[in-house]
Amino acid sequence: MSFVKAFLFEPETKTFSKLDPRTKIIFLTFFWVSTLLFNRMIIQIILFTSLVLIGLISGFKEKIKDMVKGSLIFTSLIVVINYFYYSDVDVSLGMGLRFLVLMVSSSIFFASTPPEDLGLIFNYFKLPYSLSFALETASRFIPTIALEAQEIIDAQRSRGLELDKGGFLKRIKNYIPILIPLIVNAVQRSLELAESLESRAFGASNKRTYSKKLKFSKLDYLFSIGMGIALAVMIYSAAFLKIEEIVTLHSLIKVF
Amino acid sequence: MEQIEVRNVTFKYKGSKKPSLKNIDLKVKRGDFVLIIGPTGCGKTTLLRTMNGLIPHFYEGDMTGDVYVEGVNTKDVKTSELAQKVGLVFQNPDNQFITLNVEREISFGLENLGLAEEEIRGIVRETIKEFNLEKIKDKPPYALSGGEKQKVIIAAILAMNPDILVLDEPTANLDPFNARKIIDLLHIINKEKGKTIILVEHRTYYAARYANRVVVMSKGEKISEGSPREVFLKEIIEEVGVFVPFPVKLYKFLTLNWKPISTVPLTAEETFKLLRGSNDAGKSYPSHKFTF
Repeated sequence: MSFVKAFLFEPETKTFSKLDPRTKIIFLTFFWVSTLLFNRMIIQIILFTSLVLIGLISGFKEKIKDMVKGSLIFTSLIVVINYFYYSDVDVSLGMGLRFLVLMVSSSIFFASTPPEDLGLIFNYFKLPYSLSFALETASRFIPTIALEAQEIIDAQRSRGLELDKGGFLKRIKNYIPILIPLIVNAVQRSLELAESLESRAFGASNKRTYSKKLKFSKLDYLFSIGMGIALAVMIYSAAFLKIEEIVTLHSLIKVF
Repeated sequence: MEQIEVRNVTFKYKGSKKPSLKNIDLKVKRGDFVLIIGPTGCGKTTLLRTMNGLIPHFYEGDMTGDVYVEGVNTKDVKTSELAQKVGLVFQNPDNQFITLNVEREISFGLENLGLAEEEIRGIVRETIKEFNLEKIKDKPPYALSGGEKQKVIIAAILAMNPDILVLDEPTANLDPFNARKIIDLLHIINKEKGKTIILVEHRTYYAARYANRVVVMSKGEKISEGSPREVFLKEIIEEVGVFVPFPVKLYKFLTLNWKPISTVPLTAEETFKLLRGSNDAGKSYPSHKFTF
C-alpha cells in the first residue's frame, strides 16, 4: 500500500503545495527530462539528491520514504536486469536511480497538487476534462475503498479466514475472499457514482467552467525560472558538452 | 399544469423477468411534499429514476407510458439537462460525494453547467451560509459524519437551483438524530424555498408530519394514495409491511377500545393536545418542544 499512498494528495498546506500547478509541471518536467537525458550514475546521484533535498525542504519526508520503500523491489530488479544486459555497474545503478527519480518526483507532484488543480492544468493544456476527472475520482475513492477493504478483512476473519497462513501461493489464495466482495462493491459503487454524476449535470455543457483560477505568484516565477535555467543547463551539457563521456565512474576513480 | 406527471408507466429492467413498475399514475403539484413508502423492492427507487430521466436514458429496459416534468417528456431530454429541474439525492452519501472538499462539492455541479466563475463563487458562498457549512467548508469527505455529508449533498444539489428535489431514502445510512435533522431540513426547504419534495423514506414517523401526500407502493404497483391522516389509517399499509407512525397506532387503539377522537394525530405533540383537549380543555400545555 505504501506505493499507492505515496501518490495521494496531502491536504495539509505546505509552501510547495501552494505553488501554481504549472510551476509544479515545470518541476516535474525538469526531473523527468534530465533523468532521461543521462544514463550514468554520477548525474543520477546528483539529480536524486537534489530531488530528495527539495522534497525534504518542502516537508514530503514521509512520501519519499513511502515511495522509495514501495519501489525498492522494482528498482533492484531494474539494476540486476541492466547489469546482465550491459555488464556495467555504472549504467545499471544509473538506471535504478533514474527509476527512483521518476517515481519520487511524480509522488511529490501528486502529493502537492490538489486533484482539482489537475483539472485546471488539463484545461490549460486543452486536454479533455474526463481524464483529470478520472484522476480526481481515483484520489477521492482510494481512502474509501481502503477502509472498505479493512472492513471486509475484519468480516472474513471473524468468519474464520486465516490470511497469514500457509506458503506463498496459499497466502495469495487467502486473499480471494477479500477481493471478490471488494470488486463487487466497487462496481456497485461506480454505478451509484454514475447516477449522482448524472444528477449533477455532468457533461451537460460543452464548455465546463472552473471556479478556481490559475495564478502565478512571485515564488512561482522564481521557482519556474530557476528550474527552467537548470533544465537548459542539463540539455546543453547533455547535447554539446557530452558531459557523460568526461565524468564517468572510471574517470572519477582515476582522479581520486 | 402538474409539475410532474407520471402517465401509466410500466418498466422492466433489462434481464429481469417481472416489471419493476406496473401502470403507475402519479401527479405532483408545485410545492407538494410527497412521501413515497413501501417495502424494499416495491419499485420506489425505480419510480424516482423515471422522474429525472435516469430511466430510460441510463438504465436499459422496456418502458411504456410517459413521464412529464414541467410539460417536457423525459424521453426527449438528457438526464444532465433535467438535472437543472429535478435534483436527485441518493441513499449512500459516500458514493455521491464526488470531490475532495465541501466547497468544491458545491461548485462541482455549477461548473458542469458552465456558469461564469464569479457567479459560481457567489452561489457557493451563499449556499455555505444558508446551510451553515462554514465550519466544515474545507473538510474532505472522510472527515465528515454521514449526516454532514448528506447535508452537503443536498446543499450541492440545491445550489443548482432545481424546482424539484427527489430523495431516495436519504436517511438510510444515518442515525436517528441526524435522520431527523435531514427531514426537518427538507421541511424548511419545502416551506421557505417553495421547492417540491418527493421523498422515499422508511422512517415514516419523522416524515409523515411534513408530507401533504403519501403514496404507498407494493410489488411495483401503487396501492394507495392520499393525505397522511387518511393513508396511515388503512389496514393494507400494515399488511404490506410499512411502519405506521406510532401516534396513528395509538389513535387506532384508543378509538377501538376507548372513545372516538376527532382527528388522526401524526406527532406526539398532536396526540397530547388531542387527549388533553378531550378531557380538560383550557389547561395550558408544557412550553418545551417534544423531540421524540
